Amino acid sequence: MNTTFWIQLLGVIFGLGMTYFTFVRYKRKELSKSEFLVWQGCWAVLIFVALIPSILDPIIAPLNFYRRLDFFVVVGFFVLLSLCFYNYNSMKRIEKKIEVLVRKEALESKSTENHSPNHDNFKK
Amino acid sequence: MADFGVIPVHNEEKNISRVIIETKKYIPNIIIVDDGSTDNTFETASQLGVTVLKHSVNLGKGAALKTGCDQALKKGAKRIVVLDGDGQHEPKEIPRFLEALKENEMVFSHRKENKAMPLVLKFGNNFINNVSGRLFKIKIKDSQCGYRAFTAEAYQKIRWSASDYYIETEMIARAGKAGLKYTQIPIETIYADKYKGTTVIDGIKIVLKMLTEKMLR
Repeated sequence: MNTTFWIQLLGVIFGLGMTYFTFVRYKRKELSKSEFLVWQGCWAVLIFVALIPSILDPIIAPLNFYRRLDFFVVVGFFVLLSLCFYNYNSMKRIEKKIEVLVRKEALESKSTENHSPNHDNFKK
Repeated sequence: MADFGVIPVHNEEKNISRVIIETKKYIPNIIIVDDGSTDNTFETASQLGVTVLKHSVNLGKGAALKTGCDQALKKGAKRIVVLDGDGQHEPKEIPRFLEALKENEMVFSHRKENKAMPLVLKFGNNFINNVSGRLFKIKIKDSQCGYRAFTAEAYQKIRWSASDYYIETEMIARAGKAGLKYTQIPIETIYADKYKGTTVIDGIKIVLKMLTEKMLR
């Protein structure tokens, strides 16, 4: 058994695992049908590429990568950076929405509004 | 002239009573903004005859101050004094702020040399003061001291977007940009809890935000 076999095996196991988790999320109605299909498509591509990595050779060869694995590492890095950027923006958007909501709630439903008994007699 | 004191608080059930009672001696209208406290801060403040607003979740000092100042403006404030709710700022200084506001649109304060000030805070403050002075062309002796006062007109010009500790710096940047007439007064500061307030991480974030703001505007 060479190293490539174990990497392929790990890829397939990971893909199958993620397929299962995606399915569970869909059944719990945490994912819409389109989201479910997009993610399942991603895992299917991952499993397919793990089983037959040579199908990527026409893309990898012109880019002069020494090994297929190098190509996966570089692409994986780009995907991770894009996800980081996407998550960062989503988080900022949600933070802003929460802030607007909480401040609005505080201003509209102020719970106590009193003045001190000697307020009218206040002298600067 | 309608003067308002705005005090943001977060988990300050032990200090808030003293701060409110002391502040009441110097300013007629007080707005407390409880920024998602999990202790009895809200209940304690509510019993002391002041306006208390509550954020259902903790948003940060900047957001709490904005809520308080917006409410003050809604109630017809002409001058606003902002101070911390942890007892670090002495309410007895308020008349000096109001006096200085007669000739200025905004009053900043700077903490007097104090041996109790943690060394890391001293170094961090000096560094942030220098960077903000160079970037925004406004020389503030203590850029991180939150005890400040401004007129209602000035507030509309400096109304910040930061929800965290960057608020102090953003205020300075906006005041510099708007060309507000300002002055600085020295104040006494009490350091009660060294684990509260701005941390080193906050300091790094503040410097990074300053640089980003300078580059983008």
